[in-house]
Amino acid sequence: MISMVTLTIIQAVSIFCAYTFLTVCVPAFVFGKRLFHRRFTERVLFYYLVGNFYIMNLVFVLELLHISYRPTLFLGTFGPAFFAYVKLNGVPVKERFFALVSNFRRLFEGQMGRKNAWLHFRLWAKTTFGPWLKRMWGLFWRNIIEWVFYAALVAVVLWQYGTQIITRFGYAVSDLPVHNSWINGLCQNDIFIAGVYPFGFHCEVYYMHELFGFETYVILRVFGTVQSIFIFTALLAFLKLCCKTKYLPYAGTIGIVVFGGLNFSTYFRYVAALPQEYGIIFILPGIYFLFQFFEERKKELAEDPKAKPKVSRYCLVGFGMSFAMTLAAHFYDTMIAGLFCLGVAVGYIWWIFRKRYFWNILSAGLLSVTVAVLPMLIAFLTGTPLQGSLGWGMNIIKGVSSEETPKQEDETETETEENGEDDFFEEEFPEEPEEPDLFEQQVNQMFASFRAYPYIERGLYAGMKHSYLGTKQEQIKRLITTKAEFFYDNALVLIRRDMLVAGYEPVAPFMLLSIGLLFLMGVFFWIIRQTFYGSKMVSTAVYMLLMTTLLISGRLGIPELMSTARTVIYYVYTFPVVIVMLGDGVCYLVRLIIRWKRSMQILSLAAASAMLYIEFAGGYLKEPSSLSTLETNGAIICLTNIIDEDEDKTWTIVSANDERNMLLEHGWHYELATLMYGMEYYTPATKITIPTHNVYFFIEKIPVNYAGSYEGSGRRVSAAHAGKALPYTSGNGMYLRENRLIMMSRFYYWARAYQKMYPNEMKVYFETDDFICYKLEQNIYRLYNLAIDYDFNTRDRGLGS
Amino acid sequence: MKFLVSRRNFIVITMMMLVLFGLFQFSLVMKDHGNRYDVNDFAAQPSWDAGSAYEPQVCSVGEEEPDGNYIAFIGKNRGDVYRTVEQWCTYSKRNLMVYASVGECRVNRENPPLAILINGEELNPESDTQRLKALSNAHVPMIFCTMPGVDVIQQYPDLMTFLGIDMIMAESVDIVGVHIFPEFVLGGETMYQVLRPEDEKKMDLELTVPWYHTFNGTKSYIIGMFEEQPEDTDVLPSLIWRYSTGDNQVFAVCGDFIRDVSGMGYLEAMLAELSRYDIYPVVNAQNCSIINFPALSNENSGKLSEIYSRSMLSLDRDLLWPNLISVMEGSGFSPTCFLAPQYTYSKDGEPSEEELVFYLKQMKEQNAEVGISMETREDGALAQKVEEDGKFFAEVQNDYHYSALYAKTDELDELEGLFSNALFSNVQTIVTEKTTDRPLFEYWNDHVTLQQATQDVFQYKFSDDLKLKGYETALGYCNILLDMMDVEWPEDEEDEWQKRSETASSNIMTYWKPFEGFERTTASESDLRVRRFLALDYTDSRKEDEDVIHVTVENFDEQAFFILRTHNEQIEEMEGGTYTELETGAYLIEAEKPEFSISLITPSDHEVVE
Repeated sequence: MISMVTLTIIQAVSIFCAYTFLTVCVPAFVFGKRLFHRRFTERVLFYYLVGNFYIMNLVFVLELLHISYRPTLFLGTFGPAFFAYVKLNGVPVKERFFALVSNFRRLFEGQMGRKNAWLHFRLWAKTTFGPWLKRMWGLFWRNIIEWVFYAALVAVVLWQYGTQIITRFGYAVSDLPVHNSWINGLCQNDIFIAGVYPFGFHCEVYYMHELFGFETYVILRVFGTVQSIFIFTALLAFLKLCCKTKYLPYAGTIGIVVFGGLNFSTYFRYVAALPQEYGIIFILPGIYFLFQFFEERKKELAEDPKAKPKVSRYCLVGFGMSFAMTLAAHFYDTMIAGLFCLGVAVGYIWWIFRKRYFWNILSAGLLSVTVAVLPMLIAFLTGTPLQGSLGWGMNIIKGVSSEETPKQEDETETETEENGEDDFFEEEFPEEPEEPDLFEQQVNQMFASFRAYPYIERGLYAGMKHSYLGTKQEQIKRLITTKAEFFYDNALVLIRRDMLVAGYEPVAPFMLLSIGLLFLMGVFFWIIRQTFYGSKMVSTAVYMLLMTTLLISGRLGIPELMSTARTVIYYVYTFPVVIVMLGDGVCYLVRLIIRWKRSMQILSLAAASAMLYIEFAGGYLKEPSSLSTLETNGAIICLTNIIDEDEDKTWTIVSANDERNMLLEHGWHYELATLMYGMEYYTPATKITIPTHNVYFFIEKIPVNYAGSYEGSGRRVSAAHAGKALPYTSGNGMYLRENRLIMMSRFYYWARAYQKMYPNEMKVYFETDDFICYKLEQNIYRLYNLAIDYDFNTRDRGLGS
Repeated sequence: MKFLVSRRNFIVITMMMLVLFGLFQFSLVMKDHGNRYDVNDFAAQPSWDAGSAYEPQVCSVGEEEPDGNYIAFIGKNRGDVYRTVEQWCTYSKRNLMVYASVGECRVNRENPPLAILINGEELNPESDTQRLKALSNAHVPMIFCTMPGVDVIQQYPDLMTFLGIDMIMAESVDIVGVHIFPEFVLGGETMYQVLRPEDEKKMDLELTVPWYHTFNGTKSYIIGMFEEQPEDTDVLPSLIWRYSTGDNQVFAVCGDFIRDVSGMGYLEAMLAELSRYDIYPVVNAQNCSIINFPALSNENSGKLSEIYSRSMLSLDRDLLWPNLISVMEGSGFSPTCFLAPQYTYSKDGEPSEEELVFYLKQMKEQNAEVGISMETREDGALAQKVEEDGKFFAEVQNDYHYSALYAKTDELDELEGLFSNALFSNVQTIVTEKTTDRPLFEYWNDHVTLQQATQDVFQYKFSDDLKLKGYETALGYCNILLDMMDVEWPEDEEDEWQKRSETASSNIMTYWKPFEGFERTTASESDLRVRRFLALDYTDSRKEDEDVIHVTVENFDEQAFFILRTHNEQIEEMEGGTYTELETGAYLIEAEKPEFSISLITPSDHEVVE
């Protein structure tokens, strides 16, 4: 017997190990020697990118060929890895193979004793792994403080985003059942089952499910925590690689993970395994490799003005893989990466338009986009329609007006309702902004926002309507000033409203100020000829400015490419870069001034420690993220046990929808609504049978708040609610809010009545305070009719609303 | 002259061969020498006699309800159904309350019966239907041991509803077979259907049945099968079903299942279905009685020489005995061979002591018991047989205790008068052929038990298998009969051993396989268990929210056997005895102490917990 908490921890650790092995260890084995001279962090980052990129595209290829199975995935992974290892490292395979055979022959023929063989093996192990272990040990001891910091980072990430998975076992967001069904499609070699969509994340999950045998629903339950470790490790790695100090990146990363001033909406999605959050991992590594490209290319060209890219090409490969993976995971991630690229274009303006830089970057960008889009394009050209949300993205790209867009949304919604996926699209489709127009409209809008947000000081806009009466020059000057103020004020408003919690509002101006400061510091470093260092700062500052623009785009009257709710996630995630770079710049300046090499690291250690001390000791910490789930803990425990105990395809779960995709490979699902509607207005001729040996009924005694709470949430099932008319709605409306309470109440009283009729056949399988599962054992030659008169279904009443 | 082998080598080889010969022979010599063939290991001094047998309390209207567990029966206290019910109550240690009609029946809510059994044939629907409905309010499950006629049911819709019949599809319908669903009677899921030509001989079931369509809320246990399986199996005619109204449960038995004494098993299975658990005593004895074998004298030589080219003694020794050994070893039975010293006494011919010793030794090796058959080929020769056999066994120089006897039931009265003969001095049990006139086993007199055969393996039909399931479920008891008289005295081809042996081996290997969980015993071993079974009484208890069953056994003697039926619960541990799983939800319990307890695992004990 094992507790669900322990099991979840074991599952999470196993999945983390499997994922790390595939995405870091295997590429490290292949490319280790080639990249030996690069920085450790950069190498790990590159391995990780290669690992993910390869798995993603391997699955794409095999799925498009409809030959994706465990053997093909295994061969497709380890076969090329082996050949690449041999090729890149010049391993004399033939000689080694014959030597091995010869040794074995000697051993089996008795020419070599056991002791001798053991000595041979030890010698081989020592020469092969000894230096590597020694290096790793040295690396560990030389950077012990950093490892302690990193352990602290992992610990706070687990605390913040891992608590959820061991306290609430169900899916935390309504997107997950949809993603689960799409991944199930991959299991049947049916990629893009619901239409063309970025499937990078799905490919990764499917790969782990297929190759290692982890249940898809288990991966989706715990992978949020696993990917959170990688999300913040990617941020840390980016900071470490861009900064000159060692310790400030840790402080910045740990600081943002635990910072208590953040609004819930900026981080809650990290607890769930979602494609958008998975794609976040690849944004910053790509930008780092882009930064690095300029430095490496400059070095190459300094040596030979006509040099072809060599090391810089490696950087472009890193950049290209990252950019492609953002696109393969989620379009929003690509947008953010694109914005950062625009920032880079400004920060590296001195180089980017030069012929020997520009075409390389452009071709890398185009290639990465092609690689990411190609599987989708092939599917599209072979007749797979675009998935609903992709259609919306295409409209934005095509510039379809906002009036038309809702139509598209409606269509998609109707379509998805049929698939029971409407909640997903509720999240996927942000409310569209109104089309902006002329200056006066902007002014009117300003007043509108002024009315909406009373904490914008009224005096700022007093008499504005009359202010454009001066000379043309004055008018332009005033317009610019007004616009800048408008920009600043609205940014403040949204940062305060959507990013910070009450009591932390004073932080907002400092955030904006720090972006400006970073820009100035970047320019300063340009001036003192620390150009690349300065460029990184300018790039980041410009990127943050663009992010701020994106944040308030709705208010500026420009197309709102991303909802504020999504923008803030990226904004908060990348904001530590600004702070850490500022701190890093200051430390570097001190070092330049006092000209003591160690001063910078000592100062950074002191600053990092002080920063974290203040944050922790001052109690500026947030509570671990906790979301209500779409399934009760009991339901997940039951599902786990049923899969474990029962033979596949001999059982059915009757529940409100979600288990359908979780159990697909093992059992059957029967919709609760079908059961309830089927026996409404019961007559003796009514018949409902489920043709499996065991049937499980998942009843929520306290119905979950599916996709949001409502007035009266948390009530128990009752006869009063069972007495109400069954809700007849389209989509999954019957499982939402009070309708769910009515459905579950009916279900509960039906089960009790049925148990009375079949006391020995229908038994309580599992029960908690908020959940009960009944198990009905059937004779498959004589199925029980589930339709009975349970009183509530035969009362004379009109159709429900 | 030059030898190919030197003298020295010759001597060595000879020595080696002698040593090898000695070694091989040594084991056989020792085995023969150590064979205590003149001791019957199975005969034991019984502790119980007729006076100790449990007698159920049988009450009728006007008397107070019996104490403790009791069954109410509505119907006349005679006839097949009553006999089955009465025997079931006796063997299951339950008291019985008999009501002549539904109108007489009153349920004492303070001391309700376990179930009300109704002989449906005797029902007067006009007056009884409403009364039955009123009785059902007492929440006592009802079992219709037989059903009123289809025409009667058709006339009374209330009665139809009460029985769970939604619609009468047809007054009668032809079925091709019968399907018993699992976890009802022991023996598992079985389909009786003619699939091969040889099955035709076995099909003796009633294949024309009334066709009822039952309501939702019914559970069928036995159904009829059609030639073509319909897509919706729900329409197949139910033969035994349970209808649950939510407040009460009604079993309906459509057919003659309860008319035979084997119906005890079906009643017990129904009671188990109605309860959270069911524990009841069983005999746990699987006997195989080979009657009139071996022969000890050469008779019927002409016919046997014609068929087998052998004399009777040679036939038995060289053909039948090896064949029987192979069947018994394959099936695990320890047979009891009831030898026939002579089949005829009016002609010449004497039993051979040498043959007797040979078979006693053989039986010892095969873990079989030897009894004496009282059957002869001549009518009215019982007294002569007793005298002649008595002389023969008195003259034979061994002390084997012949504690088992085989006799026909119609000769039992005559035998009673001859029982003072020294031949019967050690007899403790008499095996008889199957009869409906007597209980399955009982005390014949104060000290001797009577054990009926349950099946004739040479004449095994599907109805016999239905009965076997009933016996095994109710008592864990069977007594297979292999009567070799016809083989020794063949009259037609069907009696020849090559045919008989094929039938016997295939039947035993097939139909008794599901009951391997019960112990194979000889007649004397079985006698001891029957005596213990008849003597014991028991009480069991289990608190509502507890997973432990406590059982106290009265008149406990070394061991007692029970069957425990559960619904999805498994035994976790047992104190005071051991257990074996017979099949899903059925356990054979061996009590080693007069008080024992069984802990059950509830279904909520899962691998992953909260």
